[in-house]
Amino acid sequence: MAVVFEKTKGLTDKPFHYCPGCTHGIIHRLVAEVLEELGLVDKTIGVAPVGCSVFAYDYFNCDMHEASHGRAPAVATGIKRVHPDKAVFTYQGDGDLASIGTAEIVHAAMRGEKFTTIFVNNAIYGMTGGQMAPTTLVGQKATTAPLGRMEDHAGMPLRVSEMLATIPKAVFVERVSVHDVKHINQAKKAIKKAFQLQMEGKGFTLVEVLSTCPTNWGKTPVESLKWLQENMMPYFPLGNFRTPEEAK
Amino acid sequence: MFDEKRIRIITGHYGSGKTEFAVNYTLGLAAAGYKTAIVDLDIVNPYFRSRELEPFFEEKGIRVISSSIKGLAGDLPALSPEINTVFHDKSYSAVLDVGGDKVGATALGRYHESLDREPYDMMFVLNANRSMTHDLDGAIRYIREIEAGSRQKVTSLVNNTHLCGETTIEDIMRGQKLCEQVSDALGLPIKYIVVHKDLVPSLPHNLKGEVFPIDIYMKKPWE
Amino acid sequence: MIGQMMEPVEFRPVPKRTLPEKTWATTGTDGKRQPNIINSLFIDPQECENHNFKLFRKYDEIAKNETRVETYNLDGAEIVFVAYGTTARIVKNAINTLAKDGIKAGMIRPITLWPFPTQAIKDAADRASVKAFLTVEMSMGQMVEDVRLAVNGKKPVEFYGRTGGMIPTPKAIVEQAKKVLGGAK
Repeated sequence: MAVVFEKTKGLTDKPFHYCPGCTHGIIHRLVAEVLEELGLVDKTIGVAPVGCSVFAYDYFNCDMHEASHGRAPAVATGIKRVHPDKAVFTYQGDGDLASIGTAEIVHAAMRGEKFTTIFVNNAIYGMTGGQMAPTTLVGQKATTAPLGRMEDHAGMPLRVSEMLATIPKAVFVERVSVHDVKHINQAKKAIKKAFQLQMEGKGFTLVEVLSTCPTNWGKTPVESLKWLQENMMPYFPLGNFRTPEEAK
Repeated sequence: MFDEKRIRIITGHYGSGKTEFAVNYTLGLAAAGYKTAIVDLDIVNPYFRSRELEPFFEEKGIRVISSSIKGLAGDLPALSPEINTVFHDKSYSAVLDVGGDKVGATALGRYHESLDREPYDMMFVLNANRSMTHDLDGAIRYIREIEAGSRQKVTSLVNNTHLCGETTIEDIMRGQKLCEQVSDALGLPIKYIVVHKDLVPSLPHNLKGEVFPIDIYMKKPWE
Repeated sequence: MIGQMMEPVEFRPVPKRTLPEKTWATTGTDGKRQPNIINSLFIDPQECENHNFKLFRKYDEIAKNETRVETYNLDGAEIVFVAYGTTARIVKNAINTLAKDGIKAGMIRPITLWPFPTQAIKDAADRASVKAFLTVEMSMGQMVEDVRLAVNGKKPVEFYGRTGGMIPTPKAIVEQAKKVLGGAK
């Protein structure tokens, strides 16, 4: 019988621990497929964050490193500078990247470190049980914002992609979503572009992926995808914020 | 006893003894001949969870469903896809042990479609010795919060007022009085009165609700 | 740890060593081996405890082989100072002044604060001539409890410290030593 579909070689055979309906699984696969298509699986070193995706090191079929909370860009900086010919990526959530690790990501981008960051934004702290994150929307309820995030008290959510796009050495910054097939395909294109530009030595590259958390949002997977579109996308608009002129 | 609907949700304040009740209930259900599964949905507190008794349950032919991460110390809220089994495979009688507050109950919210499709019973375990549920207002507020978090409705009350090994009949009766007040205020029946089996003979008769004798299975590490 | 230096530091060249091959390193698999994973997460309590025990065996090994200490003028000393760094040099001056006044004083200078030279302090506490210990620090006593643990109640352990960048003078240390010995007699 002819093989019509195979799981990407960029992933190990270990089953994901993610809750059903969580989009980490989709995003893992997109990254892994891109690595495979670019022939990079055995030339890649990934850095896992702290958060629900802490076990990412068990799922990607390449060398992997665990970093302290928020410090993945610092670890990736070291790895990439020692192995400039290898593909290096960090995989970080919004609690990890946009809160405790804000300094690391901003300065890695400022220095133009030549690695790729996959930034998964689901507007909440998932692993610790649904606390307010810097990306939590105004009015969105969280365990530490039982009445919803209040603008006067907690400010407005941080738009990481827009912020990083102001940094000259952040050469590729794009926000994508994985709520339907069309957007999943677009997300893959962006991730592929980011890795290509990294390998061409252009500078720092980041893809922000809007994601869900059915468990802590208290919604079914389908409701969650709808909530993402209706609530997250207006505040976190999809699109490319930076691409090198010659790559356009 | 055990005449609840196929899906039984057990909820209550942290430290109310809801897991102890859930464990006893599950064992009783299995002993009564039902094909039983216990689902540990507590994603908040990594201690005193029903999954600790997994080997013991499995010996008795009870299916234990908990996190997709093995290892008791893990406190990632990684709900297992296996949980859907109890909604789809209707041969199971299921006990869902839910986290003890609004936050814990939120994990149940994502299953509301399954629960909308099939009637369930949701028992609120009340221990009048817990600070947040020691009076009528507190208990009602707590029930409402859990209902909002889980997107489900409590269908009955379980009086589980106790002080572990130091429980007296007076403690149980004080809890029973509070349960009756809550019952009148919310129109919810008192389903069970949970009593350690040694205390059952001393309990007055004609109480509202069925007496549910229990053994203690959830041992504390310092015991 | 990099600290603020009061005086110039002379770096000695570190001799080259042959290191074992880093088979564990994350260098990309090049398709030649299974992926390497570097992490420190042990989710199973038993595995985590095993790892802790392994680390503590390592610490024991370090304590056995890497402890460094200087002892000074301990023979016949009535009072033993414990001091490190700049303070230790000042204490040496104080010891010379005390000698002129007919008081025999010695010093234990931890060169490594971890592993702490517990044995050297224990040995000093067992000397018949030693009446008391005085730790002198530029802090409110970050070391004195370690010294007390090592002395284990055999002799009194007193503390003198200055903070905020103030430096203890030999004169003040001599006065403190005389006070301590007065109390210990």
